[in-house]
Amino acid sequence: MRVTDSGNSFDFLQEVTRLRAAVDRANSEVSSGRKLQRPSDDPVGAGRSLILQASSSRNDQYLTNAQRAQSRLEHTDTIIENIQGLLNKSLELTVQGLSGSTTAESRAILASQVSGLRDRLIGLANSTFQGSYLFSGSATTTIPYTDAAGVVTYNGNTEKVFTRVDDAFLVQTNLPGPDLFAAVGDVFGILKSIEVALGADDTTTLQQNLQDLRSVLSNSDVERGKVAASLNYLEGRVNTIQSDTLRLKTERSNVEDANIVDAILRLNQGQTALQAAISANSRLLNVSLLDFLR
Amino acid sequence: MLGLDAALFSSLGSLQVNSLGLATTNHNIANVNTPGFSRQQVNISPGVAIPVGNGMIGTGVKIDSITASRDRFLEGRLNQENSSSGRSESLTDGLQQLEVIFNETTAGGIGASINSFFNAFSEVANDPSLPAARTVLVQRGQVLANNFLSVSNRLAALNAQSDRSVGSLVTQINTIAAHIADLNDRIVTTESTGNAANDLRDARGQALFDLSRLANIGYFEEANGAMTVQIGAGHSLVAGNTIRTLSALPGPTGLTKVVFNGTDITSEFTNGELAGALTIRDTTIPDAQSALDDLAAKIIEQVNAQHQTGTGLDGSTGNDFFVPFTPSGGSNAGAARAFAVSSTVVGNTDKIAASLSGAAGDNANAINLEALQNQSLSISGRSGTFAEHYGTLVARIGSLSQTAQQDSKVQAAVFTQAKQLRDSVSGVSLDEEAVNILKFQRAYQSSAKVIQVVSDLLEEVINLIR
Repeated sequence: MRVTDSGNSFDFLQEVTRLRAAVDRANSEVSSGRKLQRPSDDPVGAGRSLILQASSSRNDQYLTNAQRAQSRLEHTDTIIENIQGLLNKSLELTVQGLSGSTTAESRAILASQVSGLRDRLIGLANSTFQGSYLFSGSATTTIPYTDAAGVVTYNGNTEKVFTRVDDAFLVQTNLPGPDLFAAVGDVFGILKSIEVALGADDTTTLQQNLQDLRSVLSNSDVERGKVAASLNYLEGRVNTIQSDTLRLKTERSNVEDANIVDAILRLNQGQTALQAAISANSRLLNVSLLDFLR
Repeated sequence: MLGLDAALFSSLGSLQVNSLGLATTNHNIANVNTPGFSRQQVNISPGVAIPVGNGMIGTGVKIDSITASRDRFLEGRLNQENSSSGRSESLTDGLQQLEVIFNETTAGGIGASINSFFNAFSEVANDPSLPAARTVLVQRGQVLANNFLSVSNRLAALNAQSDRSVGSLVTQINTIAAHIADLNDRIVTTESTGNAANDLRDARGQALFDLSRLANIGYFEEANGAMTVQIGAGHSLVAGNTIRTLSALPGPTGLTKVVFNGTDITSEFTNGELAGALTIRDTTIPDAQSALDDLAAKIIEQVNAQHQTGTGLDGSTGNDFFVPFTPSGGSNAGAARAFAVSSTVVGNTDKIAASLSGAAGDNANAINLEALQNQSLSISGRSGTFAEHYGTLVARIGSLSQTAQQDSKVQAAVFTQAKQLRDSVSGVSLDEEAVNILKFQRAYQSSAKVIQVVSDLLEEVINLIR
């Protein structure tokens, strides 16, 4: 085949363009650290990267949700602990009131103490977390317990509130008041009754109230146990989410990030090839028979 | 004295022939870089011999013709590959611009805004009575809608650009066609005198090469040397020295259609840059837009349906979150452009239906809304989550672009090969021309020497007489 001058330079140009493109590609991988720069670099990877982005953004949200639920439930747990303290104190006072050695005067003092405890209990039952009431069900803007002339009424509802911490799993984040305060008898009513019975020296009623108070306390243990179980679950869930986040990051990195060693190697190889092509061609293009004729 | 006279005359002929040879060599060298130029050569043969006594004496050399070295089959193949290169390069260009619009590998776009929109429902669920979370949700909804709108706008801009290039390609085709008709005229005139119009033919060959890059053409040479050029499905663009131009007219959809002699022949372009631009304009971009519309319509439909079942903080129910979209005739066309957060919700974030019961702290519906992003939904027969559908769209465009780039590389190699073959016949080699210079120079010098010798001999004869 005849080799012609214009053919020679066309080939040279094509070859240099091709080599330059390869060097440029390797260079941009090295400088950006990414192998996936445009969808066409790896179409399947580009689609996969978007889905992984969605998964990790969802995972981040689940982490936020779980942490919010944790702090809410931890707060609830603390409040229940305080409530149990008050109930135990009431129990002690009642037992003291039932003792044969207690005088009527002492009972009157005990009665006023119980009244004080009851007021504090109402206060705790109306606790808030970040501005919303803890024990009013889903009616978080309604004050749950109001005391009118010794009768405490519940103004909230019994709805449970959940948060999503998993594609398929919801965690309950609230404890409607009645579960804690009215499941086995109205706590506020019992305390009122103790107060009245102490004032009236009515040990028979007091005896009954003692029983009721005990069952209220044991119910509060059950409810607190539920909160603790949720907290326990959340703790485990947070760990899982964090390891999922790590896994998703690794997967995304596999799809998107350049293998720097490989890219640098290709950059060097490309440079060498380019230099070789240019120097070989620049010599060849300079050679002409005309130089040797005179 | 017949011998000496003959020698003198044949030397003169030789001087003329060899200087013509040098001139042709010079022409070749001068055009070494001219595109489409075919190397020319002087075809010579011995002069007619004259009988002398019992022998024949030669009368030197004569020029038969000056011909250009060309192979019309190789040229045909080169033009064919040129058409394919034109098509694949314009396709690659268009797709590379298209994939940039969907490139989320370095910055956020529709995919990221889908995620953050649904996550905003989670934030509302975490604190349903908090106005800030609701405001963020509305903003995220607006960002999502705006992303769909802006991608649609960029697609439309790209489509308009492809459409303009269709118009300008038609103009270029007409210009080249006129040039070919003009060359036809001059070639026929020149060759009617019996001489080959080599350089005019080269110019015409180059014009055909340029034209074949733009569109699929067919051509054949008439007996008188004129080239008939057909475009599309055999429409006669150039015949002799007359042309019938293509016109770029606005079509029913506002896009340019290519009209020949009153007929719309837009669909007949299967090769060349025109075919590439038309594929981008009529297939690739509309496909991407319709996938985008389908996704937008699905998000609007699903979010609204779920949102309607809930109750806002103000107790209202049955509200839409997004402006509802009604498909017309089973098509979701326009959904991505119409995407917007309902003004009811924008005006009063209490209308966001986070709850089912209406209680301030109830987040049951917000949780349901947030869960929509995990739900597998069917869009035009394929099922997947919103993120998966969008990922599929991006992967599809990436794959189209990747295929086009690979095709383009293969096509470039094939084109290079065809060009090398054509050059091996028609290209100028300077080394070869250097040898030709030497050849003609030596012959010229030798003939000149012969003239000198004859002159010396004749002088001897004249001296004899004196």
